[in-house]
Amino acid sequence: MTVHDWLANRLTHIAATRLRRSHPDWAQAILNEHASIAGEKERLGWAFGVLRASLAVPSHDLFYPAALTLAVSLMVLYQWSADEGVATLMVLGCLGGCLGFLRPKHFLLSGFAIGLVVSAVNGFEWLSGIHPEYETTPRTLWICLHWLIFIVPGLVSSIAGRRVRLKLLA
Amino acid sequence: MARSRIPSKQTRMVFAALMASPLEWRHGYDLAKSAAMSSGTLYPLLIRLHERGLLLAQWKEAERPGRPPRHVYRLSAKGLAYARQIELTAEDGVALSVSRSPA
Repeated sequence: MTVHDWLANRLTHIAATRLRRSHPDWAQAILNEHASIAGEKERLGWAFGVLRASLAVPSHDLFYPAALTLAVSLMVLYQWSADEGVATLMVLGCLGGCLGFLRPKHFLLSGFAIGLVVSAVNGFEWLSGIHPEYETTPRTLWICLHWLIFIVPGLVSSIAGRRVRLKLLA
Repeated sequence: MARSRIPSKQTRMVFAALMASPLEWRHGYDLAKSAAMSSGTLYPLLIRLHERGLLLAQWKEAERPGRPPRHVYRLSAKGLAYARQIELTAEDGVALSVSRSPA
């Protein structure tokens, strides 16, 4: 076996392993297709391509739930440690944009989840009476509802991330 | 309800390649060569089209003994209708006389 063939085999197997969980038929398809291609340079080119394909195809694994949990946790942490303002909006925009980019299909969920954090943290403060030391304004239901407005920038940022991803894939 | 969206250039090229012989089952490598695109672009498109019900896929025994079966593809009825709807042009690399004939 030549170096070209060894590398092509490795790359195709990595791609197939990545695809197997979400698209088992397609993972087998690229392995079998690889075996049918004549010419080692063609096989290598094919292998690089399918590796790229395996990275581009959305997988139904735990990556998105993990990313969403991390983003929401970061937003909660930020909201708890700093006062509302332009900086909150920027953090929210960055996280929403990243989630929209990671999973364009789930942009609505991403936008809502990130946008709801500010209101949810205020709701927790209102219901529990626990709040950061710097927070002096008593929380009310009205304040919690008022901060639902942050769903709008959450959605806008996730839509922006989604658009960037779709442009790159087009 | 199916979303109507403008297909990308690559999507049009895949449709053009499939429409060149709409009733024939084609394998991935053949399609990649016909559409002049890499497997990295082709497979995500094929998967997406299959998930949208525009593409049929099945396994076909290899012509040469000892080789594994290959995954082959062709447009579904919905895919054929969609291909006609998007009006493929010569720029998409299609044999227009064939693609515009009724299925």
